[in-house]
Amino acid sequence: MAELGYITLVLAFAASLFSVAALIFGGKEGTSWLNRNARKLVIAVFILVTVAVVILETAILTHHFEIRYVYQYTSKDMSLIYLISAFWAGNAGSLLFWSWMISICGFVLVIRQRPGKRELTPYTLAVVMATKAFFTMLVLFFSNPFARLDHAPSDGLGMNPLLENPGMLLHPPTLLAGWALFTVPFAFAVSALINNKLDNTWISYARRWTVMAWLLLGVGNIIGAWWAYAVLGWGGYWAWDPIENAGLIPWLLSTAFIHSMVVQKRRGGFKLWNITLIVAVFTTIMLGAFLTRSDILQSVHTFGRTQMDLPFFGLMAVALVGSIGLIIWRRKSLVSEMNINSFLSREAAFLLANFLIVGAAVITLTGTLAPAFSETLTIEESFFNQSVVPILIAVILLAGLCITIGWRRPDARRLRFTLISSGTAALAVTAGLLIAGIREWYAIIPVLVSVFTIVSSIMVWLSDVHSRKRALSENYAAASVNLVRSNRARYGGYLVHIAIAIMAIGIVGSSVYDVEEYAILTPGETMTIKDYSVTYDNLLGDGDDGRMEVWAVLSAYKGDKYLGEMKPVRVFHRSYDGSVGRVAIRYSLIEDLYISLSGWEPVDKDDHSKGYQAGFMVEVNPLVTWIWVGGGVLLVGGLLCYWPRGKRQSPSSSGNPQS
Amino acid sequence: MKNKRFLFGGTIIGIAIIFLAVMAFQSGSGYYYTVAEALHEKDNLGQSSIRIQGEVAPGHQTSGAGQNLFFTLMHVDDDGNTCPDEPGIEVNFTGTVPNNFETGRHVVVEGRFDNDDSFNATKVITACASRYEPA
Repeated sequence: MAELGYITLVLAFAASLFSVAALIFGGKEGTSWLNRNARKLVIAVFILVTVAVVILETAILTHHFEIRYVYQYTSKDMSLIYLISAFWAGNAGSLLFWSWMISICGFVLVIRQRPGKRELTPYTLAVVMATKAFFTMLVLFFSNPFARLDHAPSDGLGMNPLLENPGMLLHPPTLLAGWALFTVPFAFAVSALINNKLDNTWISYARRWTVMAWLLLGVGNIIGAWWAYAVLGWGGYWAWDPIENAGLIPWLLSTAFIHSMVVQKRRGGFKLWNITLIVAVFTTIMLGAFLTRSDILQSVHTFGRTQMDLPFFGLMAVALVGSIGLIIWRRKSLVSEMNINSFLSREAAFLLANFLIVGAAVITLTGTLAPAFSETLTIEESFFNQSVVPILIAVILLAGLCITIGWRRPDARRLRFTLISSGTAALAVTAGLLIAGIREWYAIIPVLVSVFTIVSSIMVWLSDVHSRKRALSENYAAASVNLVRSNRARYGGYLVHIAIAIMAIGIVGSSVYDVEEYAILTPGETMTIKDYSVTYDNLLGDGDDGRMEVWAVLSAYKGDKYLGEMKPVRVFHRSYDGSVGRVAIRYSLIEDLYISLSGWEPVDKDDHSKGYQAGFMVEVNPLVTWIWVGGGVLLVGGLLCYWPRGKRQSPSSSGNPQS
Repeated sequence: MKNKRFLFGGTIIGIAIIFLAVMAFQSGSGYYYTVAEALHEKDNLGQSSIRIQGEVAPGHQTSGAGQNLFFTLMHVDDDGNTCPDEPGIEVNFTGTVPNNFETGRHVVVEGRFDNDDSFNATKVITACASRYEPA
């Protein structure tokens, strides 16, 4: 079984190399024998890697412990979902998954291609398949998931208990898929440069791939934040850890890219900028992969030092130097055709937003890499909080202002209407906060800005619905649905802006106003935090030699109202020195009650029947749930942007009556 | 003419961003000591808060129902090798022990030297989770 898996990967590697050669030398799409067979090779690679993936997953599910990867990351007592997710628990498996995702991209590019329409395809596919070959090479020569042990152990080591969380099922694969998907827009850009076809063609092909990759990366980061909140047990969800930053930087850059693509498509501007951005996205993804696999920075996410740091560095260098070379070669075709008419235009606002987002990404990158250049330098979280966060607040404000002004020149009446209504709403909320006794300007300003953006987005949508209703004499319900259907990208975008503003409110509330208490309680004792009281009832445990869980049972009250039982847990696992906490959280829209169990000892050392006193960290974290709600809205908005245009559109309903 | 206006605006914003980053850098960055350096400099440091990087020695203990942690921080040299034979620093920490704290892990501790030569940490930052890829 292991041999079969390895052989399919060898064949896939050979086939990807052949396909790259055939695509480069095969000339234009569908014109030569070489080109037609290259397409078949791409499909073959997809099938081969899929077979390898199925073999590894089957080996994991059927406990083939003679395969080292299966031995290292799984055991017989693991539940099905963790067995499935053990696939990406280690370096070898996650690289195989990444490589599989790229082969799916290649496959989709081939089958979705319409004859005669895609002159960019051969080089695009060549870049995708070359990246695919690179990842297969890593799996084959550096980190083989099918490597065998010289004996067959009866049970495996099991998964690191830190990874035992539902987040494990979603966080790694969404991030890996997002990273893999960005190969395609990058490949379109390279192909456009080589073919010297730098009009909007590559932008329109790359758009949906970019939106999907951006969405996967964004949602993957949010799931990771939720995981950190629920598992790591310090009440935080984002620590500006180098690898978290490595996920954030390409996401920020691609956010800028998605917006500047719109400007190129509509107005022919930002050509050089767009190419530069997608190259930066791809390069920073490889940089992240390089950092995770080298030991130059320290982080909770690293795999420890592997021999893969050099190959990833090499790929990053080739991508960067090659792209810069191509850009210089084609610089004459990258001249902007756009003149910006007014400071108060969408072009100007998009330019400014791009500038700020890229600035935030550059600062994050600098802060992340700085410790690598100076052995003893440390960058604290406050560096990022004081530099990146204010810039992103400014971006949220721009998002609110930007949608109130149209392309080229603003429509004065509409501008006044939305500005007044959303400004009033924002000021009303601010007044409410001030009356409630909140005085921290660094909390009030972000909330003011976020409320402004949420309300202005809704107002613009409502006013569009109103105009559509008048213009096409539809009723309000039909007008609101049809409006969104007529321009999913635009209204999906508004929804994403609302999502980001909701998340910003959650981040501000939870980072400025969280309350934390430590306590050591004996059974029956109660502690209070804000208006909550928590009574520690007893300590229970269950498990065997391999794995044991100990949990405290607490009754939580808010005032006199009984909220329910809460059970913070600590897990002991044979593959792990020490124990891992699992936090008990009572979620609500206003604030979370968050309890982590830090340890215990007998009340009386000589008489264990008197029970155990236990140490707790209890937090009240306001508005954290808004972050996860915002994440959900982001997913819906992103999918709306991604969804293809409907086919049933009548010509009269396409396009927006306002623009 | 218009382009000049935009160039001017862009420059202003660029300077603002750089200014913000420099300000944040001044308050948000620091240097950490190795164990050997910290022991060497101990008398000069007095009560100032510092960061020390090292490796957790075997035999770390918790007390106070898991909220007090006591361990020895071993020196790690510039090449990343642990030096168990060189003098270490005894660290006291009160708070939530990080989930991935264990023997052999590289950690950064932040705090002050106590009068009795031990180090009172207000923060323990775990790093380098070699466990994700066992050798």
